[in-house]
Amino acid sequence: MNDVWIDGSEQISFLGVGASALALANGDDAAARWECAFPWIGPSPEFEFDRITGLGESPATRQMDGLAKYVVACSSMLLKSREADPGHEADVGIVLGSAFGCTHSNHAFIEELVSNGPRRTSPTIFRNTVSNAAAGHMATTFGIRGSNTVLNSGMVSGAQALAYASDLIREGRCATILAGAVDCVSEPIRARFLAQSGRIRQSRVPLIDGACIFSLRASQATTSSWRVTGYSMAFISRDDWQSGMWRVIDQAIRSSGDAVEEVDALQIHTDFGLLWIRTDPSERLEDVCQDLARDVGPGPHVENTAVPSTLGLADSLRLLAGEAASKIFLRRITERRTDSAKPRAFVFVAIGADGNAVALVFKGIPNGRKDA
Amino acid sequence: MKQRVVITGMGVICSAGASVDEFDTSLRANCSGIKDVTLFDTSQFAYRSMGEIAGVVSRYEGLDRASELALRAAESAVDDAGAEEVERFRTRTGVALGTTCGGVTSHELHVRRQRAAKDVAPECLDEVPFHAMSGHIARRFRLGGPVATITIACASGSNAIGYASDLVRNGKAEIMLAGGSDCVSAFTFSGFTSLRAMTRDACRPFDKGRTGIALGEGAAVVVLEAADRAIRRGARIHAEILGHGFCNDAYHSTSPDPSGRGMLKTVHDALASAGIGPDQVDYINAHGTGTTANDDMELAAYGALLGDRSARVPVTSQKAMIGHTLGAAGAIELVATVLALKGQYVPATLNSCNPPDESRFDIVPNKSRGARLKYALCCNAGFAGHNAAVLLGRFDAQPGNDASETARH
Repeated sequence: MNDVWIDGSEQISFLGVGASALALANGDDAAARWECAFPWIGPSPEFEFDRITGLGESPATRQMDGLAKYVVACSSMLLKSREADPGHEADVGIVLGSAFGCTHSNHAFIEELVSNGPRRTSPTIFRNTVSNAAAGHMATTFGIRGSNTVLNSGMVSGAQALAYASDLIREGRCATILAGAVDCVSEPIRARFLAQSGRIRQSRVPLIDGACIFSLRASQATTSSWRVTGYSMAFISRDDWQSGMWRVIDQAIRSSGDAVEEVDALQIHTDFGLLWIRTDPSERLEDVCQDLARDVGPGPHVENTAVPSTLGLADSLRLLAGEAASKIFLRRITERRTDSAKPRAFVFVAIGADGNAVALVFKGIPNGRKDA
Repeated sequence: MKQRVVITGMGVICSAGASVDEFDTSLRANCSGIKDVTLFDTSQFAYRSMGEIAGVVSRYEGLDRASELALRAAESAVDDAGAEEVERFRTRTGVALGTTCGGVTSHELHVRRQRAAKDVAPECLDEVPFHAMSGHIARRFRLGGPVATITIACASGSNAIGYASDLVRNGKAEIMLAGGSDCVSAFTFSGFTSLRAMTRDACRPFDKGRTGIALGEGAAVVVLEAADRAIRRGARIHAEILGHGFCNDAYHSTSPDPSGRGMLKTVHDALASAGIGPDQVDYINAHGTGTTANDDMELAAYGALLGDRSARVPVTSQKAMIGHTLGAAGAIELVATVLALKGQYVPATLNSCNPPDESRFDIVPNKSRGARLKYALCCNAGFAGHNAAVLLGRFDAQPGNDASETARH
């Protein structure tokens, strides 16, 4: 069984373009922009597809919709920055998660259908009315011929994609996988979001478009990598919220082979996150979990895209590694530690509006040394 | 420790049968469910037939038709596997469904209502996201395990079943309900017409005179669990899921790589994950859409896989019987493959009067027949270059266990 290493991540969102934008983002500014943009915020003006990818106006790029452009551009940056070699194309895989998939292209096609009649619809738009079109464009653009799939499981889709990608690498099906979240919302999704927001005054995080893609690989590339050591998935009912939350976390830790006591950081993330970092060695993780689960609450929650929780994960991995991070999605962080040691293990839980949950366990490398 | 994964429950609803028994009868008797469309106005289309399911009266208010079909298939599958067992282990039972269009019928209704300046029902919008149908099943059975929706176009159903088998094999779930569902609407009819992919006469998979696809609708769900626990509880085991593969051919947004390289890798991955050689494959239930591009691609792949055994291994398609059911195709056709393994027969490829290069491939034209089958592949290909394959086998219990379904047939 292979170890699974995170080799890097890139993002495109309202925060800017590239992972470095997470470091430069200012939480207060972003909150103000959210408020102005509500109920939807697209990528920053820095997102220029041609400039990022250098693909120009080819027939292939003309066929890409917004979803495909986000993820192709994000992957392009990731492949360049990691100097990943897609030459071993059959060993490289793609696992994408998207809360709403191709609903924006579906909407464009339906608008045509209703306006022009069934005989006057566009084959170009119809080609993008499958949620895997974006993953297909990635494969074609970069010549990636390995395992390739797409999960449309709501807000947790990015976390599910990372979980499945980790399995595929662990089992030796792929040596490298590009995995993460992408979303590009449409009018009905915005209308639904507004209707939910009117009923549920819990969060002012708008629907967020963009992409956040990780590179996972079977071999360690840098000394500061995180490993994905385990995960679990569960559908948590409101009646069983706190114990259900603990169950999914406990199962994830067991699957990683780590001890509960080794977990020094826990984040529970809907469209916003609550992050706990251990300060007191005697604190019990189960008690912490109960506190966070109670504070997040069983919902109902407003259903955002899969991007906020995946960006939130990328940001927290930076924060916990001692790198600059935006902390933009974190509603609360418990006391910050004063020492610079990384946590031994970090559990990240993404929760969907419907109670769908994915818990991922990450293990760091203390102070840049190779883990024993 | 890795678990062997078996199928202990099946449910299906499609134009060739509203139950597994009805579907089995149609497969054996070569009956097609394709007929004139009644669900929507087809007067503007050249071809007006499809695999429509007649007489679906909604049991669940406000649900998209695709979710309705998925729920019915899931209910049948759970009944078949033992509803008490699923209830008893519901916190460790999950669902993985594949779909191409999801709630697009509800989406279309939303737009039409908006255009008519009517209020949009909020529950109609709740059916739009793809994950709505998996959520309905999870709530219907109060499941607490993994819940996921896979969308790789027409390979979604088989990929969802492969994904679910991984979750059981790796101990992430005790029981998984897995399958696919899609329904046909003006949306899909118009879309495939715009691509000029629709046939103008009849769907004729692998036939020299094939002209395109006929659409269909339906759903199938299978219940997966570890072989050990199925034997322990005395469950009826329909078949074993030995392995699966899925990849992208990185060729074109709608056209498959004509060399068949992507499908060949997918099938090789499925076989490798099971430790089975190509020489052990007894039957291939192919995607076989009836388009020139797809069928040529598949035959290139299977020719490369089977070599000089190409003429001896049946390669068939169910598309002329049930239509192209999109995201449900992989799941419904997997049930057909399981029925073939159980019943030791090969379902026919209907409407195929002029098979391509008869000396090279046995497409079992028009009439099903008996066969000795142990290992069978169920293969699907989708838009954007995605392929998925599931390797199924008749279940052989460990020596000393006599709960094997093998002994009963």
